[in-house]
Amino acid sequence: MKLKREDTITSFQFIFLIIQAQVGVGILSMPFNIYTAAGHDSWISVLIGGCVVQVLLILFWILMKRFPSMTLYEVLDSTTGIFIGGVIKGLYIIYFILVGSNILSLFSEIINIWILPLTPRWLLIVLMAGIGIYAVRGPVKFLARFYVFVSLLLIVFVLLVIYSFWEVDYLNIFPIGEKGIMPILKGTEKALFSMIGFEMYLIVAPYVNSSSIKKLKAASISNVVVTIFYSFLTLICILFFGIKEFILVPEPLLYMIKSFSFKILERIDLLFLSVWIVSVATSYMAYLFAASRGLMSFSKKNKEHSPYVFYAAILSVLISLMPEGVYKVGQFSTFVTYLSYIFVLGLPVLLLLLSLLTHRKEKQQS
Amino acid sequence: MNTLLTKKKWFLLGTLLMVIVLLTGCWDQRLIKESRLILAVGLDLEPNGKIIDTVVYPVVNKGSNAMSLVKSVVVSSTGVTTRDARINLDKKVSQMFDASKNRVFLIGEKLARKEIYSSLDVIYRDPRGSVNAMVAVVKGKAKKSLEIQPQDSTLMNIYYPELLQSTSAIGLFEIETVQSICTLMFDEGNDYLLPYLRINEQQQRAEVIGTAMFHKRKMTGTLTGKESTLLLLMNGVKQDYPRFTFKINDQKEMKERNYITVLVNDIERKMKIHITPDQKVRVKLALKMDVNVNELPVDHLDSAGKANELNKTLTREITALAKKTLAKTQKANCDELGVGKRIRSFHYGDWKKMNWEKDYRNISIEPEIKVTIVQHGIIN
Repeated sequence: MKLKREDTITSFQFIFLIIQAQVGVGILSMPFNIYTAAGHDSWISVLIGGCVVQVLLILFWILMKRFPSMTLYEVLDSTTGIFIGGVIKGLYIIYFILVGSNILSLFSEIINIWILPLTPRWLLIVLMAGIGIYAVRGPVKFLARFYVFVSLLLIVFVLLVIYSFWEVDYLNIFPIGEKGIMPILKGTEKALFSMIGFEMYLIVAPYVNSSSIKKLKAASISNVVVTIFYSFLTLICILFFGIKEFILVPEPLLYMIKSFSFKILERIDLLFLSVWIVSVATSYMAYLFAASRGLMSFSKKNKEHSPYVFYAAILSVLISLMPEGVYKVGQFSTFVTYLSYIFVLGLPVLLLLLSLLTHRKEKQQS
Repeated sequence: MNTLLTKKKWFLLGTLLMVIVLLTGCWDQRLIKESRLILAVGLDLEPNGKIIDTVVYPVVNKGSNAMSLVKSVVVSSTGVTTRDARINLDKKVSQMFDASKNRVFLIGEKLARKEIYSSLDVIYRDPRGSVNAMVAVVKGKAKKSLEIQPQDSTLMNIYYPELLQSTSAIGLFEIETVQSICTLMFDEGNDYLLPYLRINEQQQRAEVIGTAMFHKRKMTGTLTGKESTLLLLMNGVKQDYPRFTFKINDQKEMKERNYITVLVNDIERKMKIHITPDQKVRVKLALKMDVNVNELPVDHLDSAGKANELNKTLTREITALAKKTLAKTQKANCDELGVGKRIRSFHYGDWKKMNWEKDYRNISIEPEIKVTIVQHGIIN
């Protein structure tokens, strides 16, 4: 199955596509999650997490290099056979939809707590899903252009956070590594989960119109950007909150920004949240795309993912409405996080081994 | 392109979405005209352990000739917790309270000496809580501080923030907000000061008489204005106009001629911590101050030699004050200088063996102060 020729993106757009897929709903609570494991050495954990992601990206690259015009789904078909491949494909689709619904439910929960306490959750979810459907239905290049454009907002995000440098205490990061290496590694695990999104490489890589090594370069650039961005955010939160207060604030970034106020703008957290919503939307779109692209791979004649977007979105909305309340949403989120062990770490690596062992490759066509 | 929906259906869907978008505001709209904006809050502790919550909100009275008068209204109510007291307040005030615009929290000394975190918890927990409101401690009852009618401004929400800001500029304290003290309440080996106010009922004014020393969640002592200014400088913080008046001799008949007032121009502070193997801590606090002479009625500053003499006197006086101040902080167990935090950061092994709750009182802090007069105004 070949892709339609005209729907390609450049490697420059690919950078932003991966960044936007990675930076999403988790960013607000990411420093907290890592902190619970690694304490005030969390920023080191993030850096190590970035290295792990880089290794995985290289593995993905080796895998995708063998099948240059295929997405993960077609790779599954051609390495494991139609039947087993079909089952795994189905599981992947379910996984992507679950991640999508996890994004939706975390999003609605945070909006509900922070700005719109009386607005029903379903409405927020449906609105977000509506935007998702609208954006993903088009060709991938439209999505990529949108991602590049909204990446400008990340600069606003960073600027808002940088403002807090006026009110931090540098002593908070000392003593570095007091509890040894174990907590840092545990924090790395949490950091990895907030970096989830780079698996889009497996889905989007064939759409990128450039050489294989350039794709890896693009993905690496986005990984470096995200890693630095995340460790910067984590570091700032540690410097701002110190050791004991941190435990109390599950959304440290938002909380920190809430405590600032400018002359002309009193509640900066609202501005911050609006920027954040765009990031949430982009990562939701990425998963929606991944899921609908998967559904498409089951069909023999259809070469467009657009018709399936709607079904994937409906499913994710329904699932996201199930968990209610902070604790349930948290449990659901943990569950999805553990699934990503299988689908982001386990299966792709297995697949690579399998294709290496069986010498399976896409047939060269020139 | 093979589309799933026809044009008509798309149009319908679009309209539906638009309607939904337009509807969202309705659940969560909060109109200012429908709420009572709280602009200053006072918290007190009753002898029976209940909390008295006093709030100030503005009411606009339409005057006769299109002039509208803004008036502060003060109400208070009791409850078992801050929020409970607020609920009781809501029961007797028309319209709903909105505390998100609160500018200042005044805490009665009794409550401050007991614990402040519990009373502020509700603000930390509320997404719209006014965590950037200033905090101050009132000698006596906070309720009284909101009932006075100062001539500077009829609105408490303007009077107190301005008062605190101007006093902070002359170097008594750094302005702390509800959020900034939260971090310090939880931090180990790093405490804070809050402005300490006294209410002068005769003049209908509040007066900053110094600072209240805090250790973790409660107030443990007080410092005078002069002591707070010096402590702040020893902490390496220089506000815009920290000034001191010192006695330099006592022979002059006209009393005013015995004094000098200096304005601190620039400071350089170094803190060195020595820890012996058995965890005895010695802190060397070197503080160099460049000062301007603001007032010197004896008028004898025509040569460098005279300035040197004055430098010596000032150094002696300020060192004595510094020792007294540091002893006071140690007695109150208020580690404003953050010595503990430094030990935790750079000598973690020793920190683990120490019990800062007790050890701070017993460490020795040696101030080494050096004052240099660098300017003397436009006359000698």
